[in-house]
Amino acid sequence: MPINYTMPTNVSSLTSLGDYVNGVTDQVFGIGILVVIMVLFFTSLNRVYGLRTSLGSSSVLLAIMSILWRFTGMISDRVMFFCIMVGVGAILYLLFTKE
Amino acid sequence: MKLQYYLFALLIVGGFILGTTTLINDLQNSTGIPVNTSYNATYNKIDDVMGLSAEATAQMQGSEVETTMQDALQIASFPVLKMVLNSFSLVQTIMTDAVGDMGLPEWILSILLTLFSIALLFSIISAFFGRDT
Repeated sequence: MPINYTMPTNVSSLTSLGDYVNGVTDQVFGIGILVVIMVLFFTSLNRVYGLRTSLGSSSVLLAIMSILWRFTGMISDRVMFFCIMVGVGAILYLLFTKE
Repeated sequence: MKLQYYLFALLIVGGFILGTTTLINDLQNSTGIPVNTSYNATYNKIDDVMGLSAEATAQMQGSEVETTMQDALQIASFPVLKMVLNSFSLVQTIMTDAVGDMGLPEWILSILLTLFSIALLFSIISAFFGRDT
């Protein structure tokens, strides 16, 4: 029988959700869940609005969320700065290439 | 690329960097979570950018004229210029710190910085000599 985990008191954002999953799975799968959410976000936007919109939206969201994830203790500085650089790179790519 | 569009692009990139910088600085100060010492240079630069931002704001608020965007840029031109330059060198500082943190050899850093500088140079050239399409 599975263990009865206590329910989270505040699942108000991706950060809280990742934090909760991290707590449940002993600091293992929190970041995995968040990555899956980002991939789903990218895929769904890609199907509806196209590559450029999905690339811009998801990379900017990733950069901002990575800062929150870092300060909730789920990722290291290295990963956070990598995500921010990905965001900057995506914005530069979108601005300096033609549609 | 038209010069107007280039300036607009600079504004967007600068705004993004400033926004993330503000968020990092705010969270770092409010939570007090210790940072990785390998990224000390980056965090010091982030502090510098935030100090300049505060300085520019103070100068704009201290002015008695009715402040429009152009007035504000003239009144606080020096801190704003320093802020823009710091924002761009922040990317290079992050690259330097990250390469040091991951223990990669120096030549990778040289290649990264060269590529970044070439991209920056080409974007500036495209603003003045590119096709206006």
